[in-house]
Amino acid sequence: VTVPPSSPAPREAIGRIVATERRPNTPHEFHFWTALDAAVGIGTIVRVDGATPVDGRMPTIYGVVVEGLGYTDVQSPLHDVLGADGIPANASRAPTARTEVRLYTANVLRQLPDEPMQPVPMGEVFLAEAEDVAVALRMDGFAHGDRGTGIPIGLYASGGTRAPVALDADFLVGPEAAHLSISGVSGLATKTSAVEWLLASLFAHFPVDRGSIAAVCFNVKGPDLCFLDQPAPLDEADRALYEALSVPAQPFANVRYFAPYVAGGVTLDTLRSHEALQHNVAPLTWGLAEVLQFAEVLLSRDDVDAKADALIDFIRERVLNRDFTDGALSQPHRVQSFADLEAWFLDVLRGMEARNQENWRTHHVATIRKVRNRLTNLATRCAGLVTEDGATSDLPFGAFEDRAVYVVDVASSDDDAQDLVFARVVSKLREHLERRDLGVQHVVVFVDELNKYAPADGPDTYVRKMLLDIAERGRYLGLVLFAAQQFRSQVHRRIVGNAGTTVYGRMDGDELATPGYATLGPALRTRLATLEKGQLMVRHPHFTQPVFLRFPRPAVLSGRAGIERFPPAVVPSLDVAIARQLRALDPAITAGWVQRVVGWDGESAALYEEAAIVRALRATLRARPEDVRATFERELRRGARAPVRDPGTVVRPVPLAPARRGDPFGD
Amino acid sequence: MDALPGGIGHQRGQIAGRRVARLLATVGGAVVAPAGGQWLDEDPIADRSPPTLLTPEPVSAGWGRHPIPPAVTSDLTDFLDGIQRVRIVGWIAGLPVVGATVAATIRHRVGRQLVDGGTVIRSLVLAPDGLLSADLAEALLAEGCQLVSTGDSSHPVLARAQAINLVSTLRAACERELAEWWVTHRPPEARLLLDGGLAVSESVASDRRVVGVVKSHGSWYGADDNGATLRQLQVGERTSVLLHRRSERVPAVWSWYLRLHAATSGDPAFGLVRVEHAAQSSPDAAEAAADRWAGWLLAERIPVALPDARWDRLLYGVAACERYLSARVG
Repeated sequence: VTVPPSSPAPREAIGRIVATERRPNTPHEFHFWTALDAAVGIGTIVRVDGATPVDGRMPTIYGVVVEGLGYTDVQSPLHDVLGADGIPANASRAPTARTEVRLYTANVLRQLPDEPMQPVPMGEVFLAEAEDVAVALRMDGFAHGDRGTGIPIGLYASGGTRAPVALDADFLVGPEAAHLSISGVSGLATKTSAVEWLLASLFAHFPVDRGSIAAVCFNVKGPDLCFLDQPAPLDEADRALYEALSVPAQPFANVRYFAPYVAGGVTLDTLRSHEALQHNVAPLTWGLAEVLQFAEVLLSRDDVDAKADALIDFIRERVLNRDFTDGALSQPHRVQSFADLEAWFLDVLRGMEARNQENWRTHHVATIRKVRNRLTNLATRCAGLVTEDGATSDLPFGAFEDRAVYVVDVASSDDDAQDLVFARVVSKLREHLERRDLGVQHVVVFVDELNKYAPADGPDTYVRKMLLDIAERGRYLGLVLFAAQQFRSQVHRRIVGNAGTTVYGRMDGDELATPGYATLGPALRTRLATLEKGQLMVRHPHFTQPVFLRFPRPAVLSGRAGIERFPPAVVPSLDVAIARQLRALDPAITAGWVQRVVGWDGESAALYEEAAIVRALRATLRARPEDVRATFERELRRGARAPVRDPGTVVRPVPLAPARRGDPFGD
Repeated sequence: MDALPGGIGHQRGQIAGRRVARLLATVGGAVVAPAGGQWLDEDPIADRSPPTLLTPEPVSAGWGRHPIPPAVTSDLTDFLDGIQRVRIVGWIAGLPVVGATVAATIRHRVGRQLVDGGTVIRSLVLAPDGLLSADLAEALLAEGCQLVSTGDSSHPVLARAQAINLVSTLRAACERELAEWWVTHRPPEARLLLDGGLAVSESVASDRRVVGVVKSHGSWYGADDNGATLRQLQVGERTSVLLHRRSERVPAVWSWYLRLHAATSGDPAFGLVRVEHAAQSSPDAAEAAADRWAGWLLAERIPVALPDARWDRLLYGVAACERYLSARVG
């Protein structure tokens, strides 16, 4: 972060410290008055120059204004009424305006020297200049020099001073502290925009000697994160902000999208379905093994008891992906998909019935039926995500790239599927980071609507436990949580409490009335409730008090603008959908070629079942082969159980039966 | 605004009573009053002129009431008033050593804001002749105190009363000094409202840019049948202009009463001020000037000087002088 040189002319004092017995100064708070036209407001950073040396050094105190009082010499409103004969216009015609005072209270950001810490002395008050802001926020200790760890977060702009403000990467990404919590009402460019901006800044400034970094973003609503690789039009003011903060005003260079399929379909369930944007969109599909690993995410604890747990563990360890034989079963089984699992369950139950047994391998028939019911139901609840054939298309765990963004679009998935995706992706990230084989050393996980995934009250879900684990232990692994929520008060305390950096956009009045904001004075709360777009209040371990900053609009296309520019593709017919998907691998593929291969007759495929075509498509997309056409055709042949019809057979229409005599509708 | 001449402005000499008391104790061997001494009200034994009932001498024919055309605003540019703080800071040989601060200020109006237009603040130590040792006197002078003799009285109560009278005189001297400076240095379009009578000096009393507003009515022009005019004077009305003589040292001034606020309580002095003004070229000019000044004074009723108990007669600009000096002097 570069601090612009200070103006050559020293500024004049804008205020004077005042302390009374009723309102004394303390080591953490002081009061000062200013002229009526002083450019001071809530959030302004000021510098106090002491007049008496302490230990041979003249004290300098930095503070941020947190409260302002204005009053006149009138002691009672009634006096003013009497003076103006009850006519307000008379008061404004008074030849002399009443003596008026502007009295501000500031919280101490920093005292120099640090010791001895004394009450703020009498002295003159100055508006902080850029160097003062850097010292006040302790950026002089981390944001300068070759080994600086400053991550610009915004521009402090008050009283004519514009100063870049940076977070310390060691306290944002770890290992000293980590995580970021951002709160704000929806629709005011706070949460998503701020995170997009901060990720851009983080990627631009994360120190090389701290290693590589990537981001995994869960898109949980609408098209919010669907266009991170598309540039947004920026005005001059925003470009100036980017320049001042030394961050390139460019979209993310390396973004990859993952989305499950539409249930039973061949198109991905994402609003990023415009044909021009398909080059970096990949399916997210998991097989039975991946789902069973996180079965407890989806199974209600009230529903599944210890016995059911034991059976699930048995299936996971003894049945899944193994050749399984048992005397009660009619045939050997190798369970790789939900379809295989269903067949296995049916065989077990039939065997028990045939032997008139109530228990099979200590598992009661009722438990088996219950587990069968719950597990096979998962495929329905997570249709589109879970594949019947057990095939997996996943994030590139082990091959994550530096400064890459991986967007997992689950905005259209139901809650269960979202939970499953979240739990598994985060678990895999953690697993790989522990083994140091993810491909990058640090991963930022961005989760919106955290009050839904980690509510302050409610059941202790798997997802919440996982988020707590990240919040409390993630920084040691390099797993960093950027959490956004509308209502911070509704997020689990241990998660918001473990966030080293907290960012607030415009807040709802009711939210500000909750106890979590009691440490903020009424003026700060009022400012929070009236923040403009692009303004933030930031708390960071190096900042002893919250500071107000301005950040630029993200250089990436917003969800709304992206949808207008890249409208989602209309749900196409099967042949067109397959052609579009395959074109991501081979741009020469046309719908005509697909029609020929599958025997398209204008409405449906004549040669293969739709399920077989879908399987072949998914297999081809997973394989990403050199020869896309050959692979697709091979997969078609492999997956085809039987042609629907013989293409050589001519199906002749059956003539209608003649109308019965006397039937009034027979004609 | 012109630069203030030497001796007028933000002068050194304002020292705390405790510092004087410390010097008395350490240098003078005095018995020191606790907490820097008690503030003294005006002494009952001090000289005060008795109230006087006078017969008005109108400068033009007739003595009566005149409604004032309402003025939209006021052309007054400056307000002058002074304050005094007196306390016994110690005792030497059973006689009081009095510490005092006298101050006067001009509040100058710029736009609608009042700013400092010149201030005099002086610290005084008053004691009977010979009471202060040479060392103590030297130390007090070094601190910027002005030493004032209260005479050769060995009567402690009388010495105190004399000190209070002297302080009042010195406060008036501060006011006079500032007023004379104003008359000399301020431009023709400036207008000064002086708290109290004009008869502080010849130059002030003869300057038509200055009015004095008298809130106390020791001189009551209500002898014979004239009292009815004052009693019946309605809000927004003034009396005819009369001739007011205070002393032989200064010229007579022309004066008139003005009712600022309605006397609904029955007190004839409620809301009533007597305005002093330099003699005009003719009686008609005097009446015209009185109308003009009265309109401005009526405009100055807003903002009201509450919660001051004298709010019915105290104009805000004058109250602002007192408040400013209180903030400076303590």
